[in-house]
Amino acid sequence: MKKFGLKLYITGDSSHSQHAILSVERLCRELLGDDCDLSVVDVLVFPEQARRDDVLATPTLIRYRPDPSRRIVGDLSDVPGVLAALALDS
Amino acid sequence: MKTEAEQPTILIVDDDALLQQATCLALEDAGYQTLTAANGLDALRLVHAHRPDLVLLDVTLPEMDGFEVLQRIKADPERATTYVIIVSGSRIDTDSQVQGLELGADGYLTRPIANRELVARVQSMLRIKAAEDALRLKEQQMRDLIASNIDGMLIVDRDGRTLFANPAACEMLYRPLEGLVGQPIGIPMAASGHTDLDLLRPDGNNRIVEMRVVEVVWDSQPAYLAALRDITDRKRLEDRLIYLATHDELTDLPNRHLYRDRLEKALVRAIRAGHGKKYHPLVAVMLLDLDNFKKINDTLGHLKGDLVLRAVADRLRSRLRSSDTAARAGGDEFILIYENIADMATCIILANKVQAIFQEPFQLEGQEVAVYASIGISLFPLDGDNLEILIRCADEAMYRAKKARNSYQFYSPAA
Repeated sequence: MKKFGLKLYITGDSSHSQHAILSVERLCRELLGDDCDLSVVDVLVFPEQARRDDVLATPTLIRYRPDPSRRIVGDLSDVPGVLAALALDS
Repeated sequence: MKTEAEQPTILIVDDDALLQQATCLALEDAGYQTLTAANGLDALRLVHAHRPDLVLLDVTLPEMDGFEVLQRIKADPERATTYVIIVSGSRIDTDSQVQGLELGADGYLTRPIANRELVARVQSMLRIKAAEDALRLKEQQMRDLIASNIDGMLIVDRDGRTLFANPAACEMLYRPLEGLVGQPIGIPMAASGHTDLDLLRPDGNNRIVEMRVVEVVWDSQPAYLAALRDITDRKRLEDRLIYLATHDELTDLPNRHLYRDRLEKALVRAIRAGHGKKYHPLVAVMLLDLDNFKKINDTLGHLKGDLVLRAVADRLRSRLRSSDTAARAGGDEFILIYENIADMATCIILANKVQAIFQEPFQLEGQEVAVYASIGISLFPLDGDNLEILIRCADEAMYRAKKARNSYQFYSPAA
């Protein structure tokens, strides 16, 4: 099992959703050394999953591993900000 | 000069008439208005009726002691912000003072106390109270502003949990306030000042909003204020305009602008995919021209001609993978882009498939119409590595195919 578990919720193929996917993929590759399980969930395809995770808006990035989980919502392109908000910067 | 009404009012609660009077005189000399009470019930009545700025409360009172008076004042939501100072005799141990503070007292004094010190302590406490009142007023003003704002406003704590949502935000998210408070919406981020979000509504009518984020203090804790503006209608209009600008009105296929863009991107992907490898994946450009379209137009009329174009577009669309593109290049000319083709054999299969869609005649409003097409094919990287060359090669190949009619030709430089 990889060290970090990330789940990214997006909505369809809107430009901000595509932008979020690119940002998070780069984050995993370049800063988390690929030691990262990333799943991308489209809420239009899997609305039930979004409901279970209490997702209110997209893009939402959830770091569910390690415990306790943390999440951010909005623009994920500010890498230092994202790392700090998800407590991955230590 | 200050009017009397503007002078701070101090309520002195003491059952010792002499001490009460001495305190009263000292404070009046310093310019304060005073009220007096000798027991707890009177004190509570005066607090309720006159809203004193400060209460100097003796802890030892008959019947109801100072602690109980204090508790009752602090338990009344209307009067809880009244500043209460516990006054105790020096014989009373510090436990009483601590107990007073724990029950919500805002400070304490011990007797005996010189007039000068009493006035100075009262002044300093009123200064603190004024600062607290100003802060409370500011926070109340912010709350009022947020509550009445037509933009959606969410207050989110440092862990990403919603603390508050104004009515506009509740409406945007289609949830009552109780359904939002405590929800883990996430730490809001807008790196460039603002960002677009999709709000997921339980009724499925999702909204697109523009979010701005600022850091604020909420209930004395650092928090985020996320301001949400509904831009759904604007976005949908933008999307519609972009769609119209990039699609052919008659066939609803991508138009010339979009297929050029798609081909450029396909070439970039193919070049990237081939980096460091012996072979690039192939990209095929197929230019397709209807052989007998002019005759159809002349004999059946332009309306039927339009139906033919639509029917051809439908068949092309239904045979393509999602990664392929079929576009209308203009007139009776269509262009197809196929990405990620392994080899020539696959190209030939694809070309046969495209030609096969013209084998069956088209049914147009009950009338059977046979349509034929000539197809010219160029390949990246064999025939060229840029859009202009590939289209030109496909065009040349198509003209060669025209000679045989209803056939396809791959580009060949020797021909």
